Amino acid sequence: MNNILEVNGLVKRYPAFSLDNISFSLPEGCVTGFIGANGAGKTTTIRSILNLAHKDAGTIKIFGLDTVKHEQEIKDRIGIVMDGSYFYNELSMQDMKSIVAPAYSKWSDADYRSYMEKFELDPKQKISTLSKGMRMKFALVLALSHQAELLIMDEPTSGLDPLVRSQFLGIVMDYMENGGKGVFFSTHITSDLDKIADMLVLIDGGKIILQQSKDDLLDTFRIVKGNVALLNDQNRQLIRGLKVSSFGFTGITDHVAKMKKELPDVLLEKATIEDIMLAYIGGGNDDR
Amino acid sequence: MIANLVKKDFLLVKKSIVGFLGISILVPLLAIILMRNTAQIQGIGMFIFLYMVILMELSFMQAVATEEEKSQKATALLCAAPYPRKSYVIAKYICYLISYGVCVAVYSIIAAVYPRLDFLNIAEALVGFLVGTILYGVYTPVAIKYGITKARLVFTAAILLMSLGPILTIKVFRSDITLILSFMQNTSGTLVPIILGIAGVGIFLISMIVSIRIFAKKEL
Repeated sequence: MNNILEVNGLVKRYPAFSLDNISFSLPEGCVTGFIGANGAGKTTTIRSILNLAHKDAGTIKIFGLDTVKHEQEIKDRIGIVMDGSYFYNELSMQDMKSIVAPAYSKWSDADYRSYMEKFELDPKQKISTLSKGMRMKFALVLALSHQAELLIMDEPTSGLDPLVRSQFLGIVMDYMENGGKGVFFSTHITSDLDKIADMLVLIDGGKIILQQSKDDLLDTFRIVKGNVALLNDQNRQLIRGLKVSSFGFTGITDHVAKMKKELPDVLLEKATIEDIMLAYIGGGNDDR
Repeated sequence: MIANLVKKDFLLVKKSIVGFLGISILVPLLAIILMRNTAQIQGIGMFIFLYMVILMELSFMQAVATEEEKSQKATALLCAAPYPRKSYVIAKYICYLISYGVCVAVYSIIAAVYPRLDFLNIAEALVGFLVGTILYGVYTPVAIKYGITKARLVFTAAILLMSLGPILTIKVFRSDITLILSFMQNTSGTLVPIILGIAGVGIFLISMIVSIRIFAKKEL
């Protein structure tokens, strides 16, 4: 499988935060969830990919092309969905479209009108009067109306109500079914990824913590619960995000076979993406 | 592509465009009304025009910058689209040229209607261009690098200068008018416009290149 996006050794330094030599890739044909807590570096990574922030080191390739050397060609082939504040609020959607559309060589007014109708958006409506959900739909309309091969979305579902979020995710799935080559989708709402993601990339503190297919990840990890008396220094090393209380301990492990062998009396349950994410980014084990 | 970014600046301030035109019409009209009983109206066309250009330029760029400041991330969206960053900057300088052209047109129409107001000759028109370009040429890179709050200082200084009023401005520059006019009359008819033109275009291009470089490095 070809990689549609490759990030290698990306470094971006700010006084209070850095992306620390991060590398990951997106296989073609996949929806990749880019997860992490607020401030983990998701938006900075996306801004670096789009050359909105200038990287200090590393290479980024999209469709096999360097994003600095082939910036315009690449941007012509990708759709961007940022949060809804990336518009001129005083303009109507029609005016905003008239500014954005001419930049794309494959812009289709027919697609644009079709999506606007589908999402029940009035082109003459002023952007400042749109709800958060409507803004995100409009952002998606602009991203989908020029035959984008890759969608890059930064926290698109943040702040949306469950119904709009569900519609939004449906549109992303339709996009992939209709020939989209990939979606790169940052979020801290992991339930969105349960529904649509094929791959997951976890970032924390400016470092990539893991990159794995969602199914493999969910197969690998289990929530482990048991009596505190069972814990010792050796088996503690097998458990991430260990929480100890008077009722017992709970944590998450990716050493299921070893755990079963060493602690046959513990309870192992299926983990969610959120459980796994929290186990990685929730800090070290605690013995409270 | 650049045309669409030029259009963007005008769309952002479309509600104020009538106001900008009003400013450019009001300046010569005010001068005509205030100086209707004097012979001074002849020969001061250049200063009236200068005043028009400065007010028009500063009002326009300030209005665009204010709208862009309100929606700062929209610039990032445009640069995430296939618009080259330099197009974004070049469009701003084209907007300046358009508003300068509007000033020339408005002034010429008023001069045609009111015969006591002289038409601009090329040298006078280029003086307006040179001064307007110096102001815009300083304001724009400052606004791109430091934001409009700091660039507003440039705007405020210019407005303070202009608040002296056209008549006072003429009085201040009166001694120089003779000098300027005699220089223009004694120098070859083509030399003055050439010097002014080269200076204006040179400052325009230098400012644009500086702005392009600043914007290329800007984090969006």
